[in-house]
Amino acid sequence: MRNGVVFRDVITDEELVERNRKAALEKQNRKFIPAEGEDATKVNKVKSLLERSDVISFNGYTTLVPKRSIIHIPDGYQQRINNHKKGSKLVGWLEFLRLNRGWVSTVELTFAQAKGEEEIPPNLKESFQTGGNLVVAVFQAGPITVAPPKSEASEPSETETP
Amino acid sequence: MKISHIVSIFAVCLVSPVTQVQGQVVTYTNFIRQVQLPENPPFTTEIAVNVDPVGNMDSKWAVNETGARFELHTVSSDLTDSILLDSRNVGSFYPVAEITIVTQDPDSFVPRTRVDIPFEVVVELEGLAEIAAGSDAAAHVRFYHHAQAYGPGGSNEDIDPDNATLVSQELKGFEGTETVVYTPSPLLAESGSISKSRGEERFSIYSLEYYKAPVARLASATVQIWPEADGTISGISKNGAVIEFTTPPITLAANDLYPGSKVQAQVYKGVKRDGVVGTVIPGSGFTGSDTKAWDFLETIEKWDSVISENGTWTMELITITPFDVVRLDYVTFDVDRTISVRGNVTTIE
Repeated sequence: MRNGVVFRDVITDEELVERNRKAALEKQNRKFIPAEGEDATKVNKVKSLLERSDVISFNGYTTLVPKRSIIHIPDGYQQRINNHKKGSKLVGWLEFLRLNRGWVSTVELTFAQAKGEEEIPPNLKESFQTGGNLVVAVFQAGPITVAPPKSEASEPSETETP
Repeated sequence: MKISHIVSIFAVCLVSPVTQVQGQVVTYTNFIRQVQLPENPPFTTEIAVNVDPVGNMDSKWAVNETGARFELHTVSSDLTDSILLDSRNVGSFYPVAEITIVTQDPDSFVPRTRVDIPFEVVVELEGLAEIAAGSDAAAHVRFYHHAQAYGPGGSNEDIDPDNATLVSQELKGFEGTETVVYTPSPLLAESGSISKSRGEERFSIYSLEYYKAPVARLASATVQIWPEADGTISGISKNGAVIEFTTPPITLAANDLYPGSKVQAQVYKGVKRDGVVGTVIPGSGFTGSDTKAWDFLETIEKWDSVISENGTWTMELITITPFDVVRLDYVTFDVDRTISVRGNVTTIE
């Protein structure tokens, strides 16, 4: 001991192997149900957030939103999508929206509308498609992916950004 | 059976790491996503969750039997790096699972230990009985144990977790807590030397496919395993050296020192004894990397000041770790600085 702490020399491989052998003997009576089959950790991996996001950038700030949540991009704003500039500050959605209210709008959808189980009312669609702002679909203030109506959901719609 | 419930999510404020890439400062920002299960690419419903760095809020939607996954990501400011820090699946047909790794190193945020020090894996399971309803699938979860070596001089930054080796898998079906003590896996041995193991072991719990709820990761935890250090003192013969004049230059070398540990050389009067607190040789004390095992090399020219008198002395190179004090090398020598004058007295008539 040294000031109450264990003091020892460097352990050798042989000593360590012997120590582990004794520990294994103590554990051999542990009851468990061995399993076989596919290693679930190798499948169904969570994809990178960047692969699943669109990037909105302007005036030194950038944020990420789920792909397919940007439902209207006016022609003049294409350069602000997926065009991140070096040195821009990466911020959360609410901060980015607060700084960019002038050109970014949100439209609150129901969960069923976002999932494509209910159609978005035509007058609501028209209102944001004719406006001059970029429009992001949100559910309870959080940007949400918008699936096309179930009848059209065989392949990605044209609104998906690269 | 259809049970909807609201879950509460909790975000932890992590200290955003700051790195420099080609002179540019890179910071990391955290994002939380809630994903509806089962996934339905490319139309999987996914929502960005707005939450303060520390706080909680209700799930965006009632989570039913198919469940939802909450993910905590951190993304670099240059958008080149995205890391999944944690994820949790919740749903009526998912039990609650937690894995906690307990080590004897109290100083580290990341669980870590040394190759000779066992660690505990604590598994908590709750809710299996409620959702079992006579199904074997729901009555159990699958428990995986993976190991992955870092390679010579490596750390967790040098590996792709997808390449880990599956050590074992088993089914667990209890309610409550189970604690199992593990000794580090020999799969982490470097060049056949088990004391030089360097890598990590990961323990994960996955649900079994049941009803509408797909297989999902319920919990995961990782422990880092670091090697035993070694070291040498050179510059003084280990075969009965005698110092008659000034002390000779010495070189201290140590390899694989435990993260955050301290290394130093000390001297004390007498032959080698265990547990002695000696006088530290000025310039020999050093604390290295706190995140990975590290090496040390130092030459000390003058250390006369710590030798106070003639006699037998011992010098030790030691490392002070969270677990113990380890003598890496030592040398015992004699100091004889007596001035002898031999002469005679003669007279001349």
